[in-house]
Amino acid sequence: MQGDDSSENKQIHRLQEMWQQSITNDSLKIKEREMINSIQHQMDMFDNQFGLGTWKMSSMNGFMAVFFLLIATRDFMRDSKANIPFVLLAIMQGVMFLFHTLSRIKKNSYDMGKAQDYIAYNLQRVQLQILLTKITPILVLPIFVVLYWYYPISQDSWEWRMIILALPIIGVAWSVWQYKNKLIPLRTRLKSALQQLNEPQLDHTA
Amino acid sequence: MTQTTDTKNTASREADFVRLLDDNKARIMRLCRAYTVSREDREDLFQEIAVQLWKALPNYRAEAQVSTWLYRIALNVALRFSYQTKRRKPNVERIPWIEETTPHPHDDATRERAEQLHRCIAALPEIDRSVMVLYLEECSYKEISEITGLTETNVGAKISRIKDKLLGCMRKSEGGAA
Repeated sequence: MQGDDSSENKQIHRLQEMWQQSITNDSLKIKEREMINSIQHQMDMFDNQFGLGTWKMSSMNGFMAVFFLLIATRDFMRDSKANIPFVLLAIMQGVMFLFHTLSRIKKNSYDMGKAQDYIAYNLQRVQLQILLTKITPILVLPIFVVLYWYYPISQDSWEWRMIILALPIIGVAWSVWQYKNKLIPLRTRLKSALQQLNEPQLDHTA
Repeated sequence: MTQTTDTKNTASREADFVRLLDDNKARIMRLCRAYTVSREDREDLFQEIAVQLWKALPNYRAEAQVSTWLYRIALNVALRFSYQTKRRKPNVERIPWIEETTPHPHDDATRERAEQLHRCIAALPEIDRSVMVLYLEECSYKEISEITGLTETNVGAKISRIKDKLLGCMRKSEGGAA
């Protein structure tokens, strides 16, 4: 009888252990880590493609903005109309430089060791990139118009007209494709991950 | 000045709350799992418990054990939630947790046994389930009595009866699986 009791107690003790092991704080964190790893992979792809807020892109756009501005200034001093496309290019590079720098500065207000902050920061980056993707065609199109009108020597060439026409179309199509197939799904994923993390570990046991 | 003190108090309350949730999220999740049949319901219940804990935090007195205070609130919310869910979906049959794997880093057999334990717990009547969940959480009879409002003798008698039921359920499922 005593043996039965002891065996039953052992079984109950095992059940208690099993119950407490079935969901633990550590096991809840496993899913969190999995989620972060999978997002990290997507963010690496995002960085390779857009690099918003990276030091490399920020310095490159800053350098290009100054470079085009210098050319435009030189042409302006020579009283040449050729400076207009360079002014537009300098503005475009300047805007991109601002986006990259803004994204870099914002990084300082996040603690990247925390999952929530890591996702919130990247969500902001993706949102900025979406905005940049929307305004880039608006910034680029005037350059083509100006190129067409300020280089009359080339207006007779059909190849030149084709290039001037095709490049903006390809550019806009590329932007729309990126927006629809890369940026919007990534934004949705980051939003959902952030929501899950803000509702403490609700979704991590399934 | 008053506003600064208020802000500090709110910040301190928030920090306490986050720590409380962080330390006890697994306990709350286990309890949520015992009282819900779908993942969506479990998420709703967890959120509801978190809201009620937040509301009750200013009234928490240090002389009571945190776990007792937490279980009392969580269990009340869970029972109310369970009742409301039943009223909302009167004909819904109990759905086993088969589709939801328990995320602990053990082998399949252990995981399956843990799933079975959750199923056996879920099959108990509500009051028995409350008592058993607290017992499995290693609460003392006194604590269980404080949380549920039952007398200690009653708790003891119930636990002895439910233990047999639970072990029987586990044996039956193991036999069925074999």
